Amino acid sequence: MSVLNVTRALTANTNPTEAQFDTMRTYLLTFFNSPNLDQDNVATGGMVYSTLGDCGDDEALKFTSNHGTIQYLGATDIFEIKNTQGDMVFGTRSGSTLTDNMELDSATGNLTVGGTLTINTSVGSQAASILHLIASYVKPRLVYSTADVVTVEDNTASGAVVAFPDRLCLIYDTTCSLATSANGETTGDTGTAVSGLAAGVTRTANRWYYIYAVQVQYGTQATGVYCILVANETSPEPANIAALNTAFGEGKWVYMGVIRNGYNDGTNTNIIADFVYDEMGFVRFKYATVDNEGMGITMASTTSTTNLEYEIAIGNDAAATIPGVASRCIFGGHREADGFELHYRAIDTDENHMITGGCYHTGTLSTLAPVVYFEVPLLTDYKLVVVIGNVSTDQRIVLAGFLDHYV
Amino acid sequence: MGTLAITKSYAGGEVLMEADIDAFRTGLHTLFNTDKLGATNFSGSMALTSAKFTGVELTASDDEYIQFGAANDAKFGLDSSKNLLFNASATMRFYAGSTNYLEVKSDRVNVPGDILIGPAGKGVLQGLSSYRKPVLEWNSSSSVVLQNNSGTSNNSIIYFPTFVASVTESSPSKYRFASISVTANGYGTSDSGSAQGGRRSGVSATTNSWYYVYAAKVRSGTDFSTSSPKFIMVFDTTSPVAANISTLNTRYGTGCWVYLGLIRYGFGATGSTSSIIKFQYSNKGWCTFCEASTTGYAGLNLAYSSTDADNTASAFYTFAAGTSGNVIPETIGHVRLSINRARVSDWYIRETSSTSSDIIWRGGWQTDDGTLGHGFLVELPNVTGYSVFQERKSSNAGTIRGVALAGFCDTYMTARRHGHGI
Repeated sequence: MSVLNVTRALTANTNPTEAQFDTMRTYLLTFFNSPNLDQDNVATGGMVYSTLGDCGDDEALKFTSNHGTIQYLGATDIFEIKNTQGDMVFGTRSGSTLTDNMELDSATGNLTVGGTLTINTSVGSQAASILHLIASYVKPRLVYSTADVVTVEDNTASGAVVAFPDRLCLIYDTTCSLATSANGETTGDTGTAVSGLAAGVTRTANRWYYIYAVQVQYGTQATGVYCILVANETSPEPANIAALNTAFGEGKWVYMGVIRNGYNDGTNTNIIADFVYDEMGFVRFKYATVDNEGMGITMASTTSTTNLEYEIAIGNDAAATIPGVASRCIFGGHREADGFELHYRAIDTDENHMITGGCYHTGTLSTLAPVVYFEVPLLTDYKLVVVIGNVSTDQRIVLAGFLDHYV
Repeated sequence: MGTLAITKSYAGGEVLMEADIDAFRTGLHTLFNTDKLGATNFSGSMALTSAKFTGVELTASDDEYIQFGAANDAKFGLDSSKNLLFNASATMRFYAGSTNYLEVKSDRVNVPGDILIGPAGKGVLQGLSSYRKPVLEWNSSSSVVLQNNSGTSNNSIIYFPTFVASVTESSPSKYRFASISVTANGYGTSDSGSAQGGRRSGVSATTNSWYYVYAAKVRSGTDFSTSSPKFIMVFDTTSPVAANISTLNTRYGTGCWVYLGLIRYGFGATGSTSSIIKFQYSNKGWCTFCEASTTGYAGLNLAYSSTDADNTASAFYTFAAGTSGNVIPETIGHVRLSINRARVSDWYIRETSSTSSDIIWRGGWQTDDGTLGHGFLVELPNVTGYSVFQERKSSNAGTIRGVALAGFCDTYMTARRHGHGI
């Protein structure tokens, strides 16, 4: 502490001299300008911290030898709270008890959280903990509803919630109809969000429709909280991601699964084929549309004395195609009588020993009308063959299901 | 910095005038009232202790903040709800050391390393990359144990929605073990005594029934711990479908339960009615039965008969959903059937919807040798809507036949959280 102690040089009843005044003047100039005031010159309790406020750009509030600083970096617009010497700890107080709830480790960069870590509190109404996502979140499973409609299974007590790259959203309209155009996912959309066909997509008989959860970005429900189900003919394979980003917005869509419109049986060509998706993403079609000839989608059929063949065609530009999201397929083969073998052959060699299965023989009897299935990998240069004798019979090859490895 | 300036207007031998004194007065007034003291008026030792400040507080009241930046771009202080608030117009960075910082942006928080959650100290990245939910393992005809899913022997780790629990039991008896013969203890909020896996209180051991198995947090009793949370396994009759979540939350605590799968107690239409059928679960939801009782086929015998007869006018077995009897629980999405007869026959499965009775599968074996026993494994995508029929192609009194559930896929095992790719 510096003590103000002006030498008293004056004499009673005597005019002060210049020198005496100089002494006082010099002392005051020195005392205040040197400088030499310190904290002891400040009265205890005599100040308020608000005098420290309004630290300008790059003016740090410092702690312990500048090891801890709080400052606003003007050049980069970053508010920086820094401890150069150790960890950063965030605690809470209950009464007189302080609890360290979160700690950033200076050595590893690991963030240790005492309780749960909740996300999505400000970007949607579906706040969830990270642990919940790891422990319990399951992407809502597609569920068949009607010939026109597919829906989803609720995955929470309050509805179906989808995790997007940037938020969780509740599916606003879980009725995705191929007879309805979606609303809310495209620039210029107004009004209530509706699940349905993607903009520019029409319903075509015997085609695959990939179902996406898409955030509602336009219209009444564009609040950052909702998504809808959108049917598109574009698959989620890597080559299409850019196109989907353009159509739906980057990070604004999640693939839910694929449905089939039309059994390709000549009759039921424009209805959704009933299906079940299982836990691993394996979709199986539930019903046959031609009695006794196999459940699922017809890939080929004939009445002939010669073998029936179907060459694997991956895509969505024709009736007898298989979606590229499939990796393993269950195929069914049928012959109305006399027995047969179902082969999976390499097209170029036509050898039936490459992959074969589902053999079926009847001995000398010929009345059975079998439907057999086998599961094989999806290979572009392979074909299925119903191998028969020379008696003309109905034959059919169906796709009964497949593992969708994009779900 | 305020600089004290006192004009020296007097000189030696002169009478001091009013102006000379005013110069002193003006200098002091200017310093203290106009220029004011600045930081450089103080010595380098100017370090104010908190005692110098009124109330020892940075700010005098809630909702007052220390401001930063040329345009008050950032601030911190207690808000009106007494939360310590850090707020910035742009990015905030919390540094630990010189390089690692937690970065808060308007739309995300970036963390330099993993995020470790809860007393078990398990990370988010660990959870996403390496965690595999432990599966149920058959232990005896009356009990199950939980798989070891870590590098530590006899240890099981489960990520719950609100915490991570790790239990180690070399001889599982209460945490990694559950018996159909006893009542579970410790999952409630006011239980006493040791934790114990078993049937939920109020649930009885009913022959030929299914039970849903949950890992439930130990929330009371002598094994309750806040610093090292534990769990037990509980057999329940309530399924984990969305409509039951609130019930399960009430029963076990919100975020304090995880579904582990199904067990079957009783072989069904024949064999023991009070044994847990030996099984093997995969953590992708598929479960395969691998035991036959004294009579019948391996797995759950949905239908079984030793009376030689056709099943053409009416079905041998019609799929039905449920948990009690020879039925299939609602969480099962796909079934693997084992269809068998000890002599040749024509087996087929029909849809049994209101609009169709189409045959969707037809097998059987028709040969000149009628004594050929045969069986088929058939996968079907549903637990209802189908019926199994059979026509004998060879007859003999006492020929046995049966439809057994050889395996199933439980669609509530929560493996399906993966996306399409990034």
